[in-house]
Amino acid sequence: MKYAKSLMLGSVSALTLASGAQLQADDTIRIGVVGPTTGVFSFFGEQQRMGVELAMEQLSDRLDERNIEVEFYDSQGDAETTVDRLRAMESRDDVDLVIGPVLGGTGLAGLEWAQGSGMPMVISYSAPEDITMRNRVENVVRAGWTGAQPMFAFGRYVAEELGHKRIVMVGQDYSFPYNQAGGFLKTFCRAGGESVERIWHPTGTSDYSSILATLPEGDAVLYNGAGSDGLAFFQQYHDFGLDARMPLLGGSNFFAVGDLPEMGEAALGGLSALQYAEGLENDNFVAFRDAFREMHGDDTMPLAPAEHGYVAFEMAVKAIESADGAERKAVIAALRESEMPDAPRGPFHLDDYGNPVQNIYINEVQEVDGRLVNVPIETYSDVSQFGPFDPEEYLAGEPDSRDFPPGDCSDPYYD
Amino acid sequence: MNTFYFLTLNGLTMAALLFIMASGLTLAFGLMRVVNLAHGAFYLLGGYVGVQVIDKTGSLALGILTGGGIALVGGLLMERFLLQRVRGLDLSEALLTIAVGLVIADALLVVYGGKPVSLPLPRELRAPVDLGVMMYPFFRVLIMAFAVMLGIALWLVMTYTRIGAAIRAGVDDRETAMAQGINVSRLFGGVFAVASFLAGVAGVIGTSYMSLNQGLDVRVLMLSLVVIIIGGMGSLKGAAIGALITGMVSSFATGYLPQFALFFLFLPMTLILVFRPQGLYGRAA
Repeated sequence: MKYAKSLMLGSVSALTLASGAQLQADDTIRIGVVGPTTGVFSFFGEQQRMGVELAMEQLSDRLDERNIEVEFYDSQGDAETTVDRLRAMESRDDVDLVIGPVLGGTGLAGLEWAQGSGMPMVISYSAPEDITMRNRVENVVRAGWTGAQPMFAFGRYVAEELGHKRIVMVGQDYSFPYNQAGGFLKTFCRAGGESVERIWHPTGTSDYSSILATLPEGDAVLYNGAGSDGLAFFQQYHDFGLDARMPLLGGSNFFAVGDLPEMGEAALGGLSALQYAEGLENDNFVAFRDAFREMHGDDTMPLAPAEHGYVAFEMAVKAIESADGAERKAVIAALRESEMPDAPRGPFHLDDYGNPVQNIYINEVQEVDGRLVNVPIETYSDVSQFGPFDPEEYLAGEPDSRDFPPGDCSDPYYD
Repeated sequence: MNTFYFLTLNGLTMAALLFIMASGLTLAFGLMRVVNLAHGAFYLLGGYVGVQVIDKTGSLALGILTGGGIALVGGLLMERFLLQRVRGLDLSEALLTIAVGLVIADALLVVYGGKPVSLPLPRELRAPVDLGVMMYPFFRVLIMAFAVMLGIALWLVMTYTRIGAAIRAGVDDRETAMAQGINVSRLFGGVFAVASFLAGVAGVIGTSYMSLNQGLDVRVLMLSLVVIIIGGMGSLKGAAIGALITGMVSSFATGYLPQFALFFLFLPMTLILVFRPQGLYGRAA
């Protein structure tokens, strides 16, 4: 009996504590940051976390002024876990704005949740184009990119500047590479390219020797993928001396997300395109890079997911300031108006659909101060997620898939 | 024609790696009817540790031995302290090996992170050599040579030594072998350790061209299982033939129909399971 009583007392006091926390919440604005900080994709989530931490330090006065608190959540790179975390943010932790998710699949899961919840959300690195296209919702904007976006510039560059006519594209068989291929084809074919032959392999393939043995002839090979698949492909491509026959170009993540040290010197001269380059040399970027490395160690280079987290956080703080609080409607309206003239990657603003219109850099792998970095050698400014195309026409068209758009540039589709 | 040789050599390389993985696995199964589902995790363990040693010391041989050694220690500990406790309980044994595999893989994720790892080989090993029909990277030729030598060594041991005879007796009829005074349990411990050692060695060798990453353990395990199911569990000859079939099918399928590579890879296994469940060289239970 006595035990039961103390138990009751205990739960009553726990309740009081909990409601106390609720009361306290009133004038505090909470930002929740979600990304994979453990697990296979922890690199991406850790980069985002480090970027946000840097922004927190630099904006600390403004955070204090508005009483903004930040909490980090680990999605483990899993869509279901992401949604669990998002639910906890809303119902348990009283979060007012979400930054993330980071990966493709978790981004789509987060979008679906946000649609039901109405929570203001700034998606950082996650790139499925439909987040800000066919499935767009009012309360979700993006600080990053769509898969096709950098490839619009790359397709043009490869056709016009490199003069390649026939491209052999080997890629991972899932939606992100389809989207990258789509963006590439749509401009490549209209800028003088002749054909892109696509070879899709299952994700997680480790032996590419036989794909390489039957590789068709072309002017260049583009590997449309990244991670361990990309690294294995890269290595075997060089093992068989194919680099002497055809140059190897990369999809946006191929050289860009931290595999350069493993690739080694053979990567020198490798070309790819992204809205970011760690070898940028303008003042804003150098300041960002130096501060980042000072905070997180000299060996930690800020890559795109870090900058996107950093910028997403700044967008969020600016929106809260101009909304003068965390009232959802006002914050969402302010987010949609985001202008970031001083972003490290270069100036950008959001289009009517909530995705950045920004510089795309053609990057070359170079050695700078003894380490391999992506150095921009060409800039395409103001590239939107629709590339050179009209948004309404683009949205009315077929979404990119394994074999759309057509690989033959003489197809009537390109007229 | 060049493509044909190219694909054949690729198939042989893969067959070599698969044989190194599967030979130990199949013998351990033959002796104790335990399918070690942690075998892929030992590949990963040996790979990560071995590559790290090579990075630090620059010695390839030391890396391969350390990679194999650490897997051997892991295998011994697992057999002595875990598997022996559930001996004879088929389901518990299988679940236990799965559990150990998951624990190892997850621990490796904590220690080495999720980023892919490659093995920096010296230039003279990467350089192609002339095989008469075509130029082919030297280290791939070495992998094939190693597998052939391993096969011969295992065959010699199995055919001409007392231990080999004891293993064969144990595989054929465990009860009778035990009644004859053969300590099958200790024998199994030894075979299990050697099998783990080979998995660790394969992990280092395989990283020379397949980048090492989380999830590879499961894929390698799957392929090894395909090999021993085709060849027949418990048969060394079966492991060799199974590895050749799997390697070749995989190579030619990936070369000509990459989208269907996985389909063709599992097709022979499915056919075998339907028409000859004991495998090509296995004994009917």
